[in-house]
Amino acid sequence: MQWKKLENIIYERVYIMKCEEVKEYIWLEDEISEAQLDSMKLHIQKCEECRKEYSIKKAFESDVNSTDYRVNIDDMIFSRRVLPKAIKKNIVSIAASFTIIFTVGFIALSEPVFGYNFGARISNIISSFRNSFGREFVAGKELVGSGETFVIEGIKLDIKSIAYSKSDLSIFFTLEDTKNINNGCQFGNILITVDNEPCSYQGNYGQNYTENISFGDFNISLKDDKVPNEVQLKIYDIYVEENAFNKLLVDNGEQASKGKTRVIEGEWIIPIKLDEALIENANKHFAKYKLDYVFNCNDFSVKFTELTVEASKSEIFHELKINNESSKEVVGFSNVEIYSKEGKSISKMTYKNGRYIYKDQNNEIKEVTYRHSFPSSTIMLPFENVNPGKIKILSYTTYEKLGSIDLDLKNLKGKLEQHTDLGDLSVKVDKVSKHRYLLDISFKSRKITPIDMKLISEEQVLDYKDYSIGGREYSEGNIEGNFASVNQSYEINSLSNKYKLEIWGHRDNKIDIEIPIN
Amino acid sequence: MVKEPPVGKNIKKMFEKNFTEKKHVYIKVAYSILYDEEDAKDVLQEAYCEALKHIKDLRDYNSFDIWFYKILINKCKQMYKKAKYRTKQLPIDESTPPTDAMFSKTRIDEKIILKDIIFNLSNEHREIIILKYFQGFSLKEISEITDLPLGTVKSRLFYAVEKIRKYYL
Repeated sequence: MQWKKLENIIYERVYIMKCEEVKEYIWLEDEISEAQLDSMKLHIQKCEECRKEYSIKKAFESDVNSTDYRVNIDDMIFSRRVLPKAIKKNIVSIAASFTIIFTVGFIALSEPVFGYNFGARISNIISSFRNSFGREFVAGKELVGSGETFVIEGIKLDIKSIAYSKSDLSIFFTLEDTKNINNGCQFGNILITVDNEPCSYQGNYGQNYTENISFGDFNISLKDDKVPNEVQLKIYDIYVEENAFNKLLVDNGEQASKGKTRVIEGEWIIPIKLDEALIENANKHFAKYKLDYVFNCNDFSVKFTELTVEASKSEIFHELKINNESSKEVVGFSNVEIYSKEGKSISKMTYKNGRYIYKDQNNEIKEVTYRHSFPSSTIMLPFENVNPGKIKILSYTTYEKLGSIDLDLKNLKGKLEQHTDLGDLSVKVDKVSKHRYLLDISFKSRKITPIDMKLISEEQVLDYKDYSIGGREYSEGNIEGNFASVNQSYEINSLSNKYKLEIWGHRDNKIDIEIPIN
Repeated sequence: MVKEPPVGKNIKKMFEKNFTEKKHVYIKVAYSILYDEEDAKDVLQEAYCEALKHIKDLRDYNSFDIWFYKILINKCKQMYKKAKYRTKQLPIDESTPPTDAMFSKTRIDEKIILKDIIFNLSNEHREIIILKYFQGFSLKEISEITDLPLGTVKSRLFYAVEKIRKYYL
């Protein structure tokens, strides 16, 4: 005890820390030397202000330890995102409510297009994949090749189809004889390599219960129009739930024991073979047109550089420069049409209330989800055997504040319904406890595409608890008739504060661009 | 089908193993910076591919963690450079003391919700706080991960700390 006291005195004499220094060390406790730490602690014992700072740091540390950023990563492989969030927010949630989700870069249509019968309905998954690849619908044969069957520990993995066009490669697979169990069999990790380079992929996974089949697909973008020499699908570990399969298809395979997940550890390399005919056909259906056209307006300037047409899509490339002084964010071109040399419309795309609506050469209206990579390109339906003559762009979409509504919650009992020029607002309040209220806000519109809401109180934007966007089922031909909606819920402490609700979303802006194609 | 036997010294295999073990941590870091689950998953997927592409260039596998975080943080930066994150920022004015309205989202049952406080930090401050206090990296390591001079890391850390501590006063 005496010695400790003496030690303290020595430290104090040798190195007396100032408050400023201590406050810095408090937040870097794990990085300072033992002597500095001791000296800091000595100071804290004697200085009330620094003691307070130390208790703040400790409280913060304790909050750090109890803060968990919950993110569900377990679904990362199979129920992988179909589209990046930016597009997902705008399209997929709405599209999902139509129970039609299209894989990136694909057109999955069940009706005839361009005079070709695209064939089977979505329930027939396999043929729908075959028939969904691009326009050339002879294509089941021309652009879609077959894969092979592999057996891994009794599980039959069938590479059913490999679809190839110049910039896309898609692989469709099934796991046969699966039972009615969600994600009963999952891959621990998937890697796709093209010429030994790992590729970022998009994909989708699902089950067809009536056919006892699990299925999935992977779609990768190929760079530089280069034909890959070697494509490999690598699977690392497989997780099988109890009763995931009716029976394993090879005798030595084991089912998972009751209540447990069976982990099959290993690395399996599945070669994806692109036969020559497939490559030849993809080359045959590929055309590039140079564009040289510049357009300027208040929000942006754009230079159109190229139009490519291939089996799975046509794509207009552009270099876009957003005007720094503009308060709007340019989201994309929203009304684009490609005409033939003879002046006939050969591909049309309209973005309305969160969805891309396409009109084909037979004037049939379809809804397709594409992964747009705006600002560098705009993706359209593919077309064939037609020389494109010009591109017309009649509008572009911006993300901006569309309006604001003052909310009087003080006298609100139950539900508030308000009709505004932009759309319909609905607010529901539930008292959770003495000082906590749950606020459910919904805004829907047929005129604009609301994507986000900001609830503001005392100049602070409050954080929402839940968020969703949605829409009503699209009825063919009735592009104007659908609405888009955004819903958010908030927890607030008081109804008597002043609240303002800002509606943010997409708005169409008219332009008139005509790009000649030589 | 070709089944490759696991090879102990295969660096890609080691990467796979390391990644599989730590992917839950990586995703949380990405999420805590981006505050968007789908974007965090996209970022992790891209970081994973990028890392695999360049793993052969990594000379010292012991520094794998810092190297991977560097890729991940860069991918996060690229992600929040995208237009939508510009509108997502909700910076708190330094001169404004916490108000009741702010506490309506930061305090529930008198408990400070740290996630919300951190969300209100700017991206560059948030990433430093996450790396320092949530992931336990030293300032020097953070400097390597973020490619920032040590002094900048330190000043950003204290700027962020200053903002955070206001909520605890």
